[in-house]
Amino acid sequence: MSREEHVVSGAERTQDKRKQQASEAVAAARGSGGGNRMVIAGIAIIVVLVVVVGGAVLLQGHNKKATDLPSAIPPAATGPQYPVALQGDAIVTGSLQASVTIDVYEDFLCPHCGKLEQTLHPRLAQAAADGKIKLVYHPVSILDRQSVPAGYSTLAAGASYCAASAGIFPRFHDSLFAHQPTEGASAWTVAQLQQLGTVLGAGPGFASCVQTGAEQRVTTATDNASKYVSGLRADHEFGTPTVLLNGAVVEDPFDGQWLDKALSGAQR
Amino acid sequence: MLRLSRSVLDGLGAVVRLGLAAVFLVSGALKVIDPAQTRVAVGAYELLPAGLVGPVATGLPLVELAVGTLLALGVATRWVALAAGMLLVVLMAAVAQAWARGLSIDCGCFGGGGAVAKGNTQYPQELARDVGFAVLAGWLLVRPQTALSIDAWLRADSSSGWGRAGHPAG
Repeated sequence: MSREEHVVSGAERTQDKRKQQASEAVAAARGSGGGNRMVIAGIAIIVVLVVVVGGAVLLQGHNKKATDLPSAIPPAATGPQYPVALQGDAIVTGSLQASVTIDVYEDFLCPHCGKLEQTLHPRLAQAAADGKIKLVYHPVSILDRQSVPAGYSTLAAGASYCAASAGIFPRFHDSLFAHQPTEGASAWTVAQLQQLGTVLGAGPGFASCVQTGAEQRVTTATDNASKYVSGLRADHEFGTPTVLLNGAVVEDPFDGQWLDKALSGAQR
Repeated sequence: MLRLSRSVLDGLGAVVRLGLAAVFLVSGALKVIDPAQTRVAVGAYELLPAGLVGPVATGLPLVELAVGTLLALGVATRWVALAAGMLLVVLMAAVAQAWARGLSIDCGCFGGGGAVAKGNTQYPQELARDVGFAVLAGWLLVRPQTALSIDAWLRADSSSGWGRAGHPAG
């Protein structure tokens, strides 16, 4: 048969086409009963699909668990006590007379801000409580598109202003960073933030403050922070977290050495 | 006119098929390993109600992986190429509407995605790339016979069946 095909190579294309059409018809007519290869191929396809897609589904399920939030925001423990004052865009804590001023620009959704809080916050809070530093928080909103629904950064920053007015800022701030929503996942809602405030002892004005929101205020604060910080940096970028020590950008705030140095010279 | 032999065209088809398979497998895998980012990317198009963002972000990468796998195996190539082409058309439409509405987003086609700074969008490049992929899908739609495919393997078997069935050999 193969020899004949070589001989009639001029008509090969036409013949191949015919042959293929015919064979497809035959294969279809036979169904799965006659073709061993159909069975083998079918099994192989199913196995590969199950492995690839099933593996992906398992991976998704595994990742999803890590981002689940509890139904209520767990309130953080009471930390060191320090005075809090709301001054314009800034939440000023610690001692106003301290020789060391530390500015922290944070977005409540930013994972690196969460990391910074975990590593440095206990020491910063203690130093503020001891009156060694003036610790200024600048809540900003640069990750609004990264939460579901969008806008958690602005919501949380606005709520932190409300918390400062209500006298519950330290624990409110600590609670949001201790159980920080994950980027791309569902974030805390207005109701959950209101409930946290109530649990922490905020007055009745807090809930309406969070409800009303402070979108314009947060937007303005973010714009101001972005202009100010990018003006300090050689690359003219603004990101969170940004830490300023006496007005100068701390290049690697995660390494606590800059804080050691600052505190060793700090006068009460 | 240059007429390429059937085996050369089958070989080229295999390259096209495996290339398109790689595109879908890579894009699906990059989305699967970062589901949070994928939800952000899907949400950034501002097309779907909030309740559908999660399911689409979960399902889209799985569809991409399935299409990529079937293309890699070379099974039902014409139909899978049709599905791939339709998927690409939907994705291009999503990118085009984001562009038309003036959203500042990254398409998230290969992982990543979400909002970007104004002026940092790459809509023309993203669309051009997708058109390129659609051309590959179009080739397979027009000429689904490729080397190194399950389709070819099954056809080879059917040919012998055809011979056995006693038709004259030509």
